[in-house]
Amino acid sequence: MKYLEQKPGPLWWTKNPRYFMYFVREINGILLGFLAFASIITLIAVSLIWKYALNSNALFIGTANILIPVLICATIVSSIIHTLTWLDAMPKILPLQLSKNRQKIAYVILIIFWLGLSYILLNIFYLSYATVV
Amino acid sequence: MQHFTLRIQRYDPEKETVFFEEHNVPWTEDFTVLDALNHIKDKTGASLAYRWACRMGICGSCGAIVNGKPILMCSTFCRDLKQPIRIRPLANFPVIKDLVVDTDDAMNKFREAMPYTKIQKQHIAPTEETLQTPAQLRKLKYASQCIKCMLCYSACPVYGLNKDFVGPAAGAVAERYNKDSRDEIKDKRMDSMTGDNGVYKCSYIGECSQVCPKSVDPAAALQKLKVAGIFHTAKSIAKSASAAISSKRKS
Repeated sequence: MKYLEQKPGPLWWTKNPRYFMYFVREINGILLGFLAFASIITLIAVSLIWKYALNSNALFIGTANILIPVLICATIVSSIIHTLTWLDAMPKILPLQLSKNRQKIAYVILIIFWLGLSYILLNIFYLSYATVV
Repeated sequence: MQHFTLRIQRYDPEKETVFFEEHNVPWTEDFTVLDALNHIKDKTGASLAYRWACRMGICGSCGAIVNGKPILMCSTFCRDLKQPIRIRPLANFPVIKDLVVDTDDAMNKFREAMPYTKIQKQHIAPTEETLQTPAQLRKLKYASQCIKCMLCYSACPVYGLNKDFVGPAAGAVAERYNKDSRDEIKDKRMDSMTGDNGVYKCSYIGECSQVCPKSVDPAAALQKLKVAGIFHTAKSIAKSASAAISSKRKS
């Protein structure tokens, strides 16, 4: 007489939408990490080009590649998914005991705050910097 | 509809074989999945094995995976389910027979959560009650509703892949006792819950909270424990550092 052992199979994450979303979230993290690393390298490269080859075409080589807009779009989608999942988790980890409805309200407030902050950062820092440059 | 069709996964431990059986149960408006199984057992004399007791979602015995979701069979009506109704034992646990699983491993995880309140006796007289205010009760009430039905363990892939993980319900129970204003062993409990296979193994998939029949929200409890664990670790480091400094001064 033997018990029947049960273990999740290799494709367990495809069996349930929530498991699948978990995988998407984690893959986003890898993608974002990779792109953050790639961005740092790019920034260093661009600053070097800026310094030593200002008048050359080297600065525009990167932006001409079709992969760049695709990667930028992937990063934007990844950041949005990642941010939304984190904002969803935020009301749950607070020491306050919020009911499910209040958690939803807190989630909406956090999204509004996030959008507002993004708008301010875009306007004050990025666009003003772009105008100066 | 004339009848419900139930497709049940069975396991014969003598022959070590898994097989499926289909049964038709006459359509009855208020039949739960458990009623349908009882009907099959009564009318057809099937040797089907499954656990049940209270029939009202209190004892937590009749958990199974129905149409892919871990549920309590006594709280789910057949009329609300897609036909045929597919029933199999809870996932992540060894199957003893048919729908009966061995939950000992998960039950033992509750010991790590130290599910009791330790009150130091010098604080109260033997006849004195240790009352809580409604506000104090509200903090722990949601987590105190756990009935140990093990649906959350069945829904947790982290536990499925790593049986050493403390698991969702144990986390919820630990949070319940940590929030108890009378308890005085929070530090010990936090040591236990933040160990190698403690709350930090949780990936926050969140399915445990979705399947919980008592809305305990173990996923949130585990996240709260993670945050509390950071403060607990910082406190422990500060404590040991100050102890080291004071012993050095003395010497």
